[in-house]
Amino acid sequence: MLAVTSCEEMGSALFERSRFAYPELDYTAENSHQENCFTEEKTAPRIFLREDLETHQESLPQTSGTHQENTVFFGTIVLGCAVAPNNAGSVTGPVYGRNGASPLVENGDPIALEPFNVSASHVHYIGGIEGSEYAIMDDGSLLQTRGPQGMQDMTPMWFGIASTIAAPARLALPAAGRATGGQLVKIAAHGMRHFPEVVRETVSAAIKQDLATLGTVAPGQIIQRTITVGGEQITYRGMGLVDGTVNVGTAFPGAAVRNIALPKGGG
Amino acid sequence: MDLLTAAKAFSSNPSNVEALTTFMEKLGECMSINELKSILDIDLENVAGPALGRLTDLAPTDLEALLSAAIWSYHYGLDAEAQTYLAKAKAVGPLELNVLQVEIYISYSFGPEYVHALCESALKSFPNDDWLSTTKQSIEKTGELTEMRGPPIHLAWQKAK
Repeated sequence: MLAVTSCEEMGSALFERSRFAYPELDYTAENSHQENCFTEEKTAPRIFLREDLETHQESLPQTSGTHQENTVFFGTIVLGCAVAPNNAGSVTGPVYGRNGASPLVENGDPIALEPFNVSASHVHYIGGIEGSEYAIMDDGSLLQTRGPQGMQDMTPMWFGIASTIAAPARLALPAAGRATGGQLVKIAAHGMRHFPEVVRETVSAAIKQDLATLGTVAPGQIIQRTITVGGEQITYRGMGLVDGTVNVGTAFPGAAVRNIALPKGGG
Repeated sequence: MDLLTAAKAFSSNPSNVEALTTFMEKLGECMSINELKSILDIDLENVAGPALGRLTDLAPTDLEALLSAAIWSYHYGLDAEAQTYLAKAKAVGPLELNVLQVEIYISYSFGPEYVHALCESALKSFPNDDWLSTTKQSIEKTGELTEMRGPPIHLAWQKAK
C-alpha cells in the first residue's frame, strides 16, 4: 500500500509504481527479436507457394468455339483459405506447367509444376502444396491432381458450397448479362460478395438461366428464389426496373441469411 | 451544386470518390422531403438507398419511406437493416396491409413455417387479399418455400433505373 499526502506525492508514487510494473522497454532487443523472428519465418517450412507473385496478364487466341472467356489464375494457396488469384488472362488450352508448356509460367516459378493428367479441356490454375498438386478447373472446381490420396475433388474443403456450383458451368450458359428470355439481367456491384470470386461467373450465369425460365419480371416487381445449382441451394433476389432490366441485388448460398435472428413474437 | 445534380453526377460515375463525397454531403444537408423523393428514381443501386435512409431520418413516421427502405435493404442483402426498418414501420402502422406484406416478404429466410404463420395471421385482418392467399397456398402445396414474388406495392423508388 502506498502512503501519500499530496497530489505531487501521489503522482510520484504512481510513477514509481508504473515504472515497477512496466519496466522500460529495450527497443534494441525488441528489434533484434523481430529480425530473429523474420529470419526464422523465412527459414521455416512454408505452406505458401510463393510470396511475391508478380501480376501479369497475357492473352492467347481462343481455339474453342465458346464465347466464354477462360481465365488463368495464378495465386497463392494457403491451407484453410481460398485461392487468391492475382492474375487473369484469356487463354484456352489444356494444362500449363513447367517445361515450357505454358508461356505464362516464368522459369523457376515455384507454383508452376509439371503437367499432369486431367481429363478436362481447361485448367485454370495449377499449384502445389507439400507434394500435392491442385488445379482449378474452368467450372470452378478444385481438383487435387496428385497427392497422398491420389486424384480427388477438393473443392468442398476449399470452397464449401461454392464447389458444387461447378456443374452448370458446363451447360449452355446465356450470353453475358442477358437471360435467354430476352430480359437484360444486371448483377449489383456487391451482389456476389457471398461467393468466392472463382465461382461468381458460374453463379450469375445460373441465376440468369433461372430468370429466363420465369418470363418477364415487370418493373417494380420484386422476387426472390431459391434454386438448386449443382446439388446446393442458392437464393437470389431480383427486381424489375423500368428500363426493362432485372436487377439482382444479392445472392447467397442456402435458403437463409444466417446472421440475423428470428424476430421475437412473430407469427 | 444542388442535391439533384450531385445525385446525377454520382450516378453517372459511382466509382468517383469526389462525386460520392459531394452527393453524401448534399444528402446530409438536405432537409426537404420532397427534394429527397425527387431523386429516388435516378439510380436504384447508388442513389435510392442512401436517399431512403435520409428520408427515414427526416420523416421517421413515413410508412412508405420506411417500407421502401426495408425493401431496398433487403434486396441488397442487408437483412438486419431491413428488419430494423420493418420494426419502425410496425411501430407506426402495425396492422397496415403493406406492413404485413413486407414483413412476410422479408421473412423468406426464416423458412416456410414462419412465413405461413405470418400469412395466416395477416389473412385474419385481410381475408380477401390475393397476395396473402396465394403465398399461403403455395407454401401449403409443397410445404416448401423456394420462390416468393413481392407484394403489389408500387412505391416511388421502384421506378428507379
